[in-house]
Amino acid sequence: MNEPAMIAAAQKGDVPAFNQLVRAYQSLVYHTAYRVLGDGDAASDATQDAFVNAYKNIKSFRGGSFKAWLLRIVTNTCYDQLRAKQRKPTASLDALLIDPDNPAPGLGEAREEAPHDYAERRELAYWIDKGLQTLPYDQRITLVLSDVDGFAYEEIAVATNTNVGTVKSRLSRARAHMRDFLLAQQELLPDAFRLKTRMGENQTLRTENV
Amino acid sequence: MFNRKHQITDMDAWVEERLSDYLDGTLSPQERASVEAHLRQSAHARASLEALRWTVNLLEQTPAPALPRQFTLPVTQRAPARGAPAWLVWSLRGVAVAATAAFVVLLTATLLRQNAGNGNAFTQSAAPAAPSALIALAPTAPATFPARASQPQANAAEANATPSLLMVTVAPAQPTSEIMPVTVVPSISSNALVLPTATANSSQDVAPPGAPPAEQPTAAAVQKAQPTNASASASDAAGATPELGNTEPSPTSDSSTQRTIGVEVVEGVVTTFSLKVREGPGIRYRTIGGLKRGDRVFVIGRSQDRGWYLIQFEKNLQTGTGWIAAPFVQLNASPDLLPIAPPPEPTQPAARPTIPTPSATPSPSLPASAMVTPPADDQTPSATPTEPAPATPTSEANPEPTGQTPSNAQPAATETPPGKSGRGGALSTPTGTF
Repeated sequence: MNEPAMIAAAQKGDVPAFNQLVRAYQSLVYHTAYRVLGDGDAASDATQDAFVNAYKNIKSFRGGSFKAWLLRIVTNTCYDQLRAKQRKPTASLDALLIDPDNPAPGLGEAREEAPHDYAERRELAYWIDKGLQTLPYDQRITLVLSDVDGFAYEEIAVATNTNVGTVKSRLSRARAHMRDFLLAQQELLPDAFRLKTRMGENQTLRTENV
Repeated sequence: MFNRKHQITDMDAWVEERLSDYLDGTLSPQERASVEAHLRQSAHARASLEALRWTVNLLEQTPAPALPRQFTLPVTQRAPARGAPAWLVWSLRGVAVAATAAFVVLLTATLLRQNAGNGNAFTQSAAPAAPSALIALAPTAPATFPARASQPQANAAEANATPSLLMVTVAPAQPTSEIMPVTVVPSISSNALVLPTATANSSQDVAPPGAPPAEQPTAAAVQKAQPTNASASASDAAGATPELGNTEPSPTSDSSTQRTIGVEVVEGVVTTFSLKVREGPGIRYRTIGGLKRGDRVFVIGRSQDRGWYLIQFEKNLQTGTGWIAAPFVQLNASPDLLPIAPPPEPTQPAARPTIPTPSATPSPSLPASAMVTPPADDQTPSATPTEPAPATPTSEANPEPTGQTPSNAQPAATETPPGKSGRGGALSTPTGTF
């Protein structure tokens, strides 16, 4: 996909061109919204809202990283979605993970893992989501963008409308919090994901030996 | 958390705050050295670091949820908001002002008619009873509305002590001049009224001397709407970059990763579901491949902090090696036997096209061809215009003495660690109302 050309066309009102951008980014946007909101329905709404907002405002995009620009819209949309959800809480954290029989188009991840691995990863995702939901929004979005999505500090700074120093400190606090949360759930995690310790350091950790 | 008997010292707390940056390789060399010194002493700090690395690795493995549906927009989606053509906004505003002005003209004319009785207001304007009406439209919309032309006329009128002057300049602020500006000067006074020539003729050039043509202000308005955010983001990016320089110590020409092969071959088994193979010992290095649980690897070295292992990895065509996180590998021997392998060459500025530049040129992806660093002995990075700041401490002293590595040969082709800053493209700050 020629992204700049698609953006230019979308700026002139070409919806099919914009939809090419949607197809390229919808998995990323949905995944981000899903991890941040911890809810499939809310993530779905936020994803759709984000793309509509992106289209409406695409003329304000003037070069640079389209992904970071888009993520900023996603961040804001998720925040709105979260406030709406807090007013009207809904349930369902499960039932939203990968459906191995029906991989959605556009989801690049190959589903070649064994059913056992799949179940374990779903178990891991469950606990990660639990932990993420205990984080303040700023730290949560920063952690998701950095360590789940793999964005650079500067991109996160743009997406969250802050500076790199703040991104780093939020990330530091969020990681430490997640570490403490996951360590506390160690026994509940699938064995493959438990912390394996080495070299005499295990006595300082409250974990089993390998 | 880790050990209830352990007394948390100030140094522990200081290091704890920096472990996240240490993992990302974004500490200054001095701080990095301090953290590493403390890590050598404190098992507590090492455990804390290891658990943090474990946490980040788990986050990276979080599976993506399936897309519930496509999020493409219907083709009937309304066109994007017209943000760019500011001249249109101004011209519409100008039309509104013009309409108001026309109304005022009518109103004034009516008033004059009433005051003047049955006579023509214009012809009666010199009579003492006639009201003095000076309507000089000075719209808030600057410059686009050519009513500015009324200013000199008003001055002239005052200077001549004209008893009555009705002067309304009506013109839409259409910069393309498709609509002729109309200047109405129905001031028929017995006194000689000196009018600027510009208002006397009916040409479209109604702007008085010194006032810019109509196009210029609108163009300026368009430009003015943009640059604040753009320049702010550009300077942000430039200012931020020094923090992001990859502070992995530079493997100067005193070590070799190649020579370690064969000296000590340790085998390892991957113990986690999927494990990323990276170009360097840190999660900010580029992923170059993946391993699955049960995969066997030949481990040929370790990082100074024992957090990462250097393995043979044929998929890396440059070096034939890769790095994996130590907690997810079971070795058949003590890692102490492994030689310490230096991290790959830190990034050279010329090889990092994706550093955000003040000019914010779009470069969303990192071309693979740009990943290879210049020759290792090139310690002076060529200053490129796109480099916003001296971000990469390529010539920093190596805080890790790698005394165990015998050879002076540089690894055949060390790769550039993209670092945390290398994964992004050039940035611009989106503006908008959202």
